[in-house]
Amino acid sequence: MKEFITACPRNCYSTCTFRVQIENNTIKRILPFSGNLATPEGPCIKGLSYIERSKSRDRITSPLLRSTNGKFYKISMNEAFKLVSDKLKATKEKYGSKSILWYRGSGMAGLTNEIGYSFWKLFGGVTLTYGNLCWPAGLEAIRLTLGEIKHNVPWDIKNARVIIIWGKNSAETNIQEISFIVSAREKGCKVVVIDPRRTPTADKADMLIRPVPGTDAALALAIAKVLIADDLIDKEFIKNYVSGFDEFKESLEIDPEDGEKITGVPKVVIIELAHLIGTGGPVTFLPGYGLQRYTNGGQTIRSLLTLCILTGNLGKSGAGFNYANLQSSIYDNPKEPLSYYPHPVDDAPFRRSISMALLGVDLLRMRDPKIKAAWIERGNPMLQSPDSKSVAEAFTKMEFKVVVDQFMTDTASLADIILPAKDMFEQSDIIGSYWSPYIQFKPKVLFPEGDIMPESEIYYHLAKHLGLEFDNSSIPEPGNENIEKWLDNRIKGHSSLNLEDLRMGPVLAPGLQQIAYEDMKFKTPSGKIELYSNQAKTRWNISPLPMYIPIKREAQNGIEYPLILMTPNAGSRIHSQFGNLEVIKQVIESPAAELSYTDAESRSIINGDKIRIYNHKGSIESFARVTGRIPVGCIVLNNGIWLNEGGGGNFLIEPQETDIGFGAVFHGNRVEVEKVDSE
Amino acid sequence: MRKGFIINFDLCVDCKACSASCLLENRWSESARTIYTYNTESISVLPITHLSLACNHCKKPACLYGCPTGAFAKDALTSAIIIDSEKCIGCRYCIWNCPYDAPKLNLHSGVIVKCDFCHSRIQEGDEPACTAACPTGSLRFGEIPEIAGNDVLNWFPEKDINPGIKINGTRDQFPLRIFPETGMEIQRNNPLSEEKSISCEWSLILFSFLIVLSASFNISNLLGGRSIDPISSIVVLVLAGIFSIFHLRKKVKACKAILNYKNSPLSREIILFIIYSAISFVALVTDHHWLQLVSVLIGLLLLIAIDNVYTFADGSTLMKFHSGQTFLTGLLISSYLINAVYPFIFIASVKILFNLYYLIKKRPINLLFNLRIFRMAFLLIISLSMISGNATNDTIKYIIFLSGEFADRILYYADFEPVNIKSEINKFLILSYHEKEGDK
Repeated sequence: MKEFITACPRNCYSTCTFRVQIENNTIKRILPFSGNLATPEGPCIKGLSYIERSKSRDRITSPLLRSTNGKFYKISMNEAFKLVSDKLKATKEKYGSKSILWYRGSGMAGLTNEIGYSFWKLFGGVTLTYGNLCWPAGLEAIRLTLGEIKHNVPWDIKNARVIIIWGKNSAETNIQEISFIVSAREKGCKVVVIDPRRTPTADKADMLIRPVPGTDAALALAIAKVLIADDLIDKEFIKNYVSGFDEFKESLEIDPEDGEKITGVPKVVIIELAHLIGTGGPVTFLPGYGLQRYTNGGQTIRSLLTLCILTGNLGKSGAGFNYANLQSSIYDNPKEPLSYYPHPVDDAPFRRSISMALLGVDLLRMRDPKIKAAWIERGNPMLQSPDSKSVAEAFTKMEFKVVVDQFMTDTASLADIILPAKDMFEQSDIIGSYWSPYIQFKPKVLFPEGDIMPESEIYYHLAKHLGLEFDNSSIPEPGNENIEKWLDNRIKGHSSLNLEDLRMGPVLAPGLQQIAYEDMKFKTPSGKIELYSNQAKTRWNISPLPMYIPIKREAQNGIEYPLILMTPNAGSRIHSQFGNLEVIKQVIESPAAELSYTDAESRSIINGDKIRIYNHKGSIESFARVTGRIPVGCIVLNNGIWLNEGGGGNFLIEPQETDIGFGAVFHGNRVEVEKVDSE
Repeated sequence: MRKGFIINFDLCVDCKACSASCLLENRWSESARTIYTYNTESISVLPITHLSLACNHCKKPACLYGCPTGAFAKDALTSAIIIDSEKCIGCRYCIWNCPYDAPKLNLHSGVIVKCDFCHSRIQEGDEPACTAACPTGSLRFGEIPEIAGNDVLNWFPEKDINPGIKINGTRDQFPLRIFPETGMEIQRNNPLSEEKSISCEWSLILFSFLIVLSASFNISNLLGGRSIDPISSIVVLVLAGIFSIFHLRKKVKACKAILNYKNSPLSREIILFIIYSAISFVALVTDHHWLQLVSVLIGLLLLIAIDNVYTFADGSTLMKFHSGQTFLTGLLISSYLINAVYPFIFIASVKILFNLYYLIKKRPINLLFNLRIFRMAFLLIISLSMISGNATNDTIKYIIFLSGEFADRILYYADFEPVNIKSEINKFLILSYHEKEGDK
């Protein structure tokens, strides 16, 4: 039995390091690795499930071709390469190379993903997406205000005296953070959760504040007004490092009374909270991503940031605004969120014209050339993009779709050819994190089954079939030793780190500030923290000051749907991944729509009832889970529910971009629910 | 010092990594580890607390003592209580006896599986899969005091078996402050219900009732009461035997159930049942007077043994005052058959009193409430007709009488409530809820 240190490459805060024991080309055990201070107790249930996932019976292990009757049958890898390269060539000749969409999801992180970019560049350019489904409104808000996106190391949370967890459900999405929160609390730290839901994270707090979804900015600005009025601000800090304070102070209109009217949070609680933040520090803010997936998402995060800035809770231990920590992205150029812009750099011959947030409608309306074919990897856009129906329609209209995946996802089932994707253990790679400060190497530890091939090798063979000319630096030759050589080359020059350093285990990012902004240097145009941001106005056409903009509530065809739909992430899935595994199905309750006792009762719905959730976009079926965890007026469907489980909330979501950053709006859509009579 | 699980429930968020890890390590169809949640309803004024439990490998293991085949053993190295699935006959008596639901019935194999501390990992110097996997450090494996248990959770049952678990945490003493307050409003719509964790087991109800009948018939025969056809007596016995086997998941291995006669009330019941059946059969066929006397005596012992099986598992004294106990019912039916009016009236009064006691003591569930009223009414009718004249030969009254007693046996199973963490959680939740409601 051999043991390796590896790291989980999913789109997740934790980016856990773990030890993996291999016997007979099979994972026998997954064990914690205490050398990563952010995840010393090991991975969550998803990480453990790799034991099953890596050898799952449902893995796609050979290319599958759709036949005329709609069913898939196996073909050889060579046949697949021939077929795909012929189709790509024909499409390019007939419609131009930009008639092909190259769609990349966030299914697996790693530097080797760049090899695809090299391939498509050699191919002559294709159409790309811009923006991001997840978090760009918040990233852009922080970039506008602080210049850089970083925060203290996660274990510094232990030194906080007040923790404000705002719309983040660490217990399910960043489980190791719970250990730091609980240990801070044991030392007398006050923990406040602000979330419409009573999440498992809230159950670790002293206080849960449940604003009306989408009104977080109003709550933050009401608190800011109290902070200033009651003289709870750090004047020295503001004088030295902040620009735009006076303008901001003047602009504050929402007092606690208005705050109560808008958010539903009692006036006295708003004042209590202001005093806690103003006097109880150091304060660490743990904002989530959910609250910026509203139309007003960017302004919401800017408003939250003001509380951190007014009280000087930045650049010191136990304090900070832990939204994202991109200090380990040393190999990225440009970094997020700039990389989400339609034209971050001159990336000719590509056309970057499809918004991630508006995927379906953009694909359908794209002209000159129209989108005729798609290559989809590391993603399940049919299920995960807002307005799933339009995405499915756009894909169905295309002439040719290649999906590279490990499982028969709802997107894969729309493909013409499915190519078997590697799992994380089947090729070496290097990953960073957006929470912990480590750069990590994950070695190849398993030989893939059947025809499974890393994407880099798929691209290599296709390039050969297409007769493209290239060298090892753009697309390395097959074989893991070549990938490792490529990786070693790729990281040279960015820092003193080489591959051998990384092999030993997780490495703290070179240049890391354990306490972010401790040098009080801010890479904004003014060099100060910008409460007032000109860029906000010039680039995004929003107010240069943080503001509360109510989310629109429009009647659709004369009908006002009463319930606010939220689609947060669940602990047992990363977006649409993991829910298909047996071990997850066995120990986790099957997906259900959660709603309050009041809303259930007024619709004669009881726990376990089959229900239909619908609005003007469509309808899906689910089962009801009636619980006090959900506030009145809301309904919650967890993210990533597959069609065979009833389908996810994206079927009910209007495609919209966030106010800044080219993000997607997932929350705040309105729906109605009814019991489905079982005959 | 001994080793066991150490839990800090302040760190537990119900992520189920422990459960999954157990499943993946042992390749079972069901995880031996379950996370129990206090306040799954999410009542706003009460905390939500999770407790991950597998087996606590108790000092005085109720599963081990109760098992009729002696399938459980204490491992010398780790003090783990380990089940030998070859010996298990799937009678599920351990499920009744364990307050933590540690033994789990595997539906495929029909036998019990349970946590063995990941015996092979411990032998290699490793820790169990579940504790290794806990991502927050809430669940650990380590040295615990000789008398460990829990002094923080009110709803954790201990049943005097010294569970090998140390529970730490403070969270459940500080209710979460929630704003805006939702108050108690959510609960008016969904009143809490008292769920039962054990459903009625029809084969056991029939088995025990048939034994009561058979023993009463023998007494009646011996003392010259209402005459019972020997053939029907034999049929009753044979049916009882069939129903008892019917209950077992591993019928071929049924004979092993007598092995743990030293400790297990169930083993003793089965042994007495076998002896009783044999002697009764011979006595019925030969009509031998002395054999009849012996069969009556063993029959009465068997009835006591049957009652013991349940009081051992239930643990509450309440069960000893249940009118549906087989011994009491046996005496009542016998006095009916031999038309002994005063003994009958005496036992009937005792039974009615016991029933009234239960009516007051137990929160009534509608159906059971009605059943109890019926069964008391039937007994009153029969008692009155016993006083007024001979009721023994009236077939209609006979049938009414027996159906009343059968109802009593059903009630016995409905009221039978082995100490169980799920019902303890529910009981305590209802209590706390009403306390909070009183505060308002």
